[in-house]
Parts: sequence; structure tokens; C-alpha cells
Amino acid sequence: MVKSLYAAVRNVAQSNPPFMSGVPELLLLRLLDRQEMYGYELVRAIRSATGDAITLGEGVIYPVLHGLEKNGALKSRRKAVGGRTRVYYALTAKGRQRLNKLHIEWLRVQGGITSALESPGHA
Amino acid sequence: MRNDNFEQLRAALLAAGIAPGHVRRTLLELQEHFDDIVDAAVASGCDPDLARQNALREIGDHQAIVNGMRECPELLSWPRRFPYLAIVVYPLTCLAILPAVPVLVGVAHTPVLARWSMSLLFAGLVTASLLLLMQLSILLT
Repeated sequence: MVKSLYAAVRNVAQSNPPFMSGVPELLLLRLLDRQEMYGYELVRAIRSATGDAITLGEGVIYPVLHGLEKNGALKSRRKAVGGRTRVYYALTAKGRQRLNKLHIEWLRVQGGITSALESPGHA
Repeated sequence: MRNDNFEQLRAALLAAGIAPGHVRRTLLELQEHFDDIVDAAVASGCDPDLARQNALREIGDHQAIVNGMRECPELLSWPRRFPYLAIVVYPLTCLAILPAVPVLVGVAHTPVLARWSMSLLFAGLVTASLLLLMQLSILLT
């Protein structure tokens, strides 16, 4: 009984990550899939792409970028531009796989929430 | 002001156990980010001092950055990631290696050791010759 309850809880935890926890990662991977960018550019691009609905702070963006690079989803290179050193990030093949996985997961969660909100019983 | 701010952040990140390499990289990126925000504000007609203050506000609270970094285990330094390794295995390995250190140093500095040995041997021979001469002079007189 306890074992099956534990398995059920673990299954729910694995298949439903916290609502916003994967969002920065998904947005960063999506933007970097189009072109390589550096941190400041990414923050501005996210604001612009989401119509200011989502603003990622620097406290969020750099840990996520570094973590993704450490996991092999991103690669970085330093580039001197106008006397400054910029760290540009680009997506790797592993990152593209991760993006596809997160995208599918996001559509699944979004579909579930939309159908729950639109269901007549809960309107 | 800006440097003080980033120095405090560096200390906070290191104290939180973030690997020094990631701390350097994060600070480099944040400093560039700060400059970009200031440049954009100044270009749009903002006063430079006000632009710097706004940029610092936009970069945000140190604790948020520290917390963000701490949540990624792969960004932590290895003693924080593997504390048992750091507390038990590392000191034991050092103790085991300690006796081999003089040998390894000797191998690494063979020419210097050879020169010193030859010098000591030569000095010993000179001293022994002098003592022998003195002994002979005493015996013969």
C-alpha cells in the first residue's frame, strides 16, 4: 500500500515538473536554436519574444546557461567585440534533443491545462 | 561602486561553494551585462550615474544570483559536490603520497641534486686531506 502510494507520488513528480521550473530552459534553448547569442541579448530577446510577459533576471539566466553548457546542451565561445569580451552560446545536437523533449512536454502540459480551463464543469 | 559590488558577489559565490572557474565566468558575464545595460540607457539619453544605479538594480540581488547558482549541482566545486571525498579520501591519499614526495622531488631535480652531491663530496675530500696533512705533520714533528 505504502509502496504503491510512493510509486504514484514519484510518478506524478516525474511527469509534472513544477509549473515554471523548465520555462527558462525551454525559452533559452528555443532562442539559441535560431542563432548564437550572449547573456544580455538573450534577456532582451526573451522579453521581446514573450511581449514582456516573461522577464528572466540575471540571477536565473546565467546559472541556467552554465548548467546547460556543463550538461553538453550548449557550447560557448568568447568573442571580442568593440573591446569587450562576450560569451556567445550556441545549441549542440544534445541541446536540440533536449529542446524537442521539453517542447513536447510543454505542449502536453499546456494542452492539459487548456482542456481543464475550458471544461464546462470548471468554467 | 561597481567593482565593490562585484567583489561582494564574488565573495558570496565562493562562500556558497561555487567552483572558482564558474565564479570568474559569471562575474565576467555580469560585468559585461552591466556595461551593456548602462550603454543602452546612456544611448537613450539617461544620466550616466542614474544609468549605473538602474543597471545595478536590474542585475539584481546577490542572493538571487547565489541561490540560482547553488541550485545547479554541476556548478559547485568538487568538495561541495563530494564532501566525503574531500573529508576522507583526499586527506588519506595525501598521507599515502607524502612519503613518496622526497623521491619525486629528487627525480624532478636530478641535475641540482647531482651538483650538490658532487660539491659535498669534493668539500669532504678537501677537509679529509687537510686533516690528514695535519695529522702527518703532528706525527712527523
